[in-house]
Amino acid sequence: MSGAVHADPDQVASLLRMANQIASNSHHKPHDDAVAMVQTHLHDFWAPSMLRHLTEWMDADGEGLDPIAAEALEALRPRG
Amino acid sequence: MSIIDLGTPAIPGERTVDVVVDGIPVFVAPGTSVLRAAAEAGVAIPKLCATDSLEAFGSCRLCLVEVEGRPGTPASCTTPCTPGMQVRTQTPKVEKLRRGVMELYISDHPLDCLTCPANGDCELQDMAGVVGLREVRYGLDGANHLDAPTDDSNPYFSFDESKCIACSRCVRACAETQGTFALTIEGRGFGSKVSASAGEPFMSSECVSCGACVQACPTSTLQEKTVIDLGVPTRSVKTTCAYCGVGCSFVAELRGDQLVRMVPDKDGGANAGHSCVKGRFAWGYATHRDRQLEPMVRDTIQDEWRVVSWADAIAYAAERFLAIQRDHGVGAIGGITSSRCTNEEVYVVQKMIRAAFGNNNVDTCARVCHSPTGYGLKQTFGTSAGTQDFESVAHSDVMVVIGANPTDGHPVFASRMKRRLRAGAKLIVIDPRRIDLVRSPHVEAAYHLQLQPGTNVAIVNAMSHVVVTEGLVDRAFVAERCEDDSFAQWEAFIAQPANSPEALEAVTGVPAADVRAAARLYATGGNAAIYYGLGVTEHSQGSTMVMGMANLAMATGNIGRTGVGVNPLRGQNNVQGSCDMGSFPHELPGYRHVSDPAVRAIFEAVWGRAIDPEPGLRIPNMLDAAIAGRYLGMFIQGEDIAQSDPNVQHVKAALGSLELLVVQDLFLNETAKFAHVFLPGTSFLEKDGTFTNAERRINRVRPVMAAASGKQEWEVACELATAMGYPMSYAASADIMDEIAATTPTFAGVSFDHLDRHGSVQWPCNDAAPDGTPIMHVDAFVRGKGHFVETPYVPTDERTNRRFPLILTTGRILSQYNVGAQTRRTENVRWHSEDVVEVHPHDAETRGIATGQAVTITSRVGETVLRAKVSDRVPQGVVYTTFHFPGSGANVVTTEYSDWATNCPEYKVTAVELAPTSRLPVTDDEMDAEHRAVAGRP
Repeated sequence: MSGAVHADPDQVASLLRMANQIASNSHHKPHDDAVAMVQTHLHDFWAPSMLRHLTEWMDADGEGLDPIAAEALEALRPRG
Repeated sequence: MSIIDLGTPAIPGERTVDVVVDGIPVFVAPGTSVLRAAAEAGVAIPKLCATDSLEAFGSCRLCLVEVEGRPGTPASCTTPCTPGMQVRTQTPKVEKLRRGVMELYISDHPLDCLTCPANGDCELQDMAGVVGLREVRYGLDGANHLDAPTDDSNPYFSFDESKCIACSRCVRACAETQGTFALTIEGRGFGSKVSASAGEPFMSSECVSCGACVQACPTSTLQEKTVIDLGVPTRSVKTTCAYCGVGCSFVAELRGDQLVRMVPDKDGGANAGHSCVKGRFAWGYATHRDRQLEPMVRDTIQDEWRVVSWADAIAYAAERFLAIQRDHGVGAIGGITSSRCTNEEVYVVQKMIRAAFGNNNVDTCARVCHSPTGYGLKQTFGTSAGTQDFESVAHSDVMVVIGANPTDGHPVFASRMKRRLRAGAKLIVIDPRRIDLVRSPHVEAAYHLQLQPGTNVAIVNAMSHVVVTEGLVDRAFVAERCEDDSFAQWEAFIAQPANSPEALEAVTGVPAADVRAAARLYATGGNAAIYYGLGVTEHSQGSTMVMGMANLAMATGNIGRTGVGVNPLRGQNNVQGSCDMGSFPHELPGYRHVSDPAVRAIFEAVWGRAIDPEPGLRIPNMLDAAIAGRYLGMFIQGEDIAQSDPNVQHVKAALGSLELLVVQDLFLNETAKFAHVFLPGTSFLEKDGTFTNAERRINRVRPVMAAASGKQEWEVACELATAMGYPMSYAASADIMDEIAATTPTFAGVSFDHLDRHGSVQWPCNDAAPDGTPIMHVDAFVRGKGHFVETPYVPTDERTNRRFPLILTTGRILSQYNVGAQTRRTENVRWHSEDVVEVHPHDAETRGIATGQAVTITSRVGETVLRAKVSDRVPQGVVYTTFHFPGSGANVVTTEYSDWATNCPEYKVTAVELAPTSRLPVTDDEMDAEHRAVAGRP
């Protein structure tokens, strides 16, 4: 997936669900640990294009994104 | 085919008992029979009822011997050796007795040896010669069984009662080897005869058609129909079954190039001479008329297929892949490897994607089954692997079976389990459905925790809560083998009242007292082993559950020795191998992350190409990207995702969006309807390579016949990579394994030569473990110290409501296999010709549903029609179906929800509603006719 492209709504919905689900499995942890866990997971398992699409959507909208996931995405921004 | 038979089973132990047989000294383990001692000394004592796969029975009276200092002529099969014993096997007295015994047998046996299907492969015939039978004085006109009927009801073997010598080997094989107890000896004395169930034909009896009785029969009484039709085999090739993750070893027996029968290999490490109905009998698909043997291409999926040469098909695919990359970027294409294929084939495809495609967009069908195993066991133990060999279960005192149905899904291993359970081990079953293991002949679970689908994590947390709060933690093990800090965190977490069985009872539906009792049994009952299947992984918290089980095992010290462990029962023959071979988009072979420059350097040096340091797309991400128009080309090796993956409407929409879909398969399956290039695959009988089973056992897959399409699959991948500008070639598949060994530390000691010498080997196999590793984490975990992970229960988003008040869960049946591409093309359809939906009597009554009635199954994403089967195997509120027939459309109704960590689909929890309908299920014949029409065949 080359170049900066805007994410498809269905694809964003899928990525949003995935990110929120990862975050929901971190909520038992202290805040910083939770962010670190989600960040590590996204870094290890998500393709850069997925991070980029969700980050673009977060910048444009972001409604419904778990705050833990949002912080993790933000931390990964330079990579995406 | 001649197989060495030592008469009675080997007795483990030191060879401390000295015996002399016909003047030949031999040392044996205490308890060894005289018959076996003699065989080990090279003295073959005649026998009929004895065979070394069954306990001695002592009925045929042919193996009589004389023992110095003892009166009479004891049966050598039931006489244990004692120190200093002097045995004589050939004396006038025993020779006369044996001839007399044989004379009686032959007096009631058809004298049709020359036309008998077992002529030349009959122990009765052999023994008549061995004992020197020259006459039968009793005549054949007295009372006899010569006109007894033949039962031909089973599609794979016949039972010719007239040839039965009532040795009970079949009855004992059914009991001891298979554990089904379907056969018995009915009647007494002269009226004794073998009977299936209560005198029923085999086909309608409780017989599961494993074939153990056929293999045990010393005559032609129980005989494969292929032997009757084709004749006794004349040559053989050792290979490995291509069905489930047990990975049974077989001896393929042929006449010329014609496969006659598959005989389970006594030396097989996984199966020790046993098999199931699929492996032994259901191999006819390999030469089925539906196989597509020539490459085909078409410009659009609306066009007719054009048969082309291999060169044209590969050039066409390469050009279109390259064109997509030119127009849309390197990452716009990718592929999927198959757990049906060999390690070598999988390795080459992932290499093609990483080196020729230039990205990490490679995933595997394990995504939809055991990807949570990979995640969970790596986090806790350090690697994605079952901890035990199959033999370990013989030393278990407690077995926990979670979300698995071994008697149907992994039947040969289930037979091992049942053997141990009959010997007294305790069983805990955790499953919403009452599987056969809960109660079957001579097996009864101590506890069946019949939980609500989707609450696995709650149950395992509750069990761990009991362990922690009732002082059942193995403190010494934890202190020595596990991390202090992660254990302390986990201990505090799991001890919270919210994780107690009482607090979670309303969630799981399991009485707290049962959970407590099961946890106590697991923690204190001796060696406790966990075996699990897709009922664990295919959930929104599949990975969490895997880690929860690992926590429980570590906390109780049930890891790192024989009889214990955490063991995934892998669904397909090479799930373990396909994962080992670097099929996941974030990992290179050996489960090493692509971001590790040292690991990439190993492969870059060998492959001569830079490897993308970023993870690629998983299957669901590929499909999403396809619909979004950013993923346009795909190579699919041996997987029918248009049938097997969830929410198939979404899958089909994605496949339909592709500019190029290349399918490499045996058949024109559902996925091939969306393909532009079809590359014929090879059946397991044609492959040359290795499979790795659920116990990490690497087995050789040897070609029994030439590739029907003219090419091995790895050759095709090499040619495609080469055509795309990345030269890739191997002289033989052995060279691919050599490359795997050179790049992957856990495979460093593996080679075809090594496997040919040792039969099989369990990885890790390297300098530290040259003979392989049957049990993992013995002295230390792969990651060093065991890591505990907090596992909070997070309910799935898939909820029942007034519109969809039932939970649908899915599974397998014994006679069929996955999407049925193979088994539907065999006589196995005689047992299961269509999928049905099981519904509890209460739920059926409130909806006016009766057994056999067609019902709609509707979820929020789709609807399908199946026939109902009213059954109390499922609890109220839960319905269950299998997914072996494409027309059933089980995955039309499953949703897009998946495991949080791995995206493994949540197949096991779908909210649905059932309603009677006048519509009829789509039949297999209708689907096949459609496929033949697509292929342009009559």
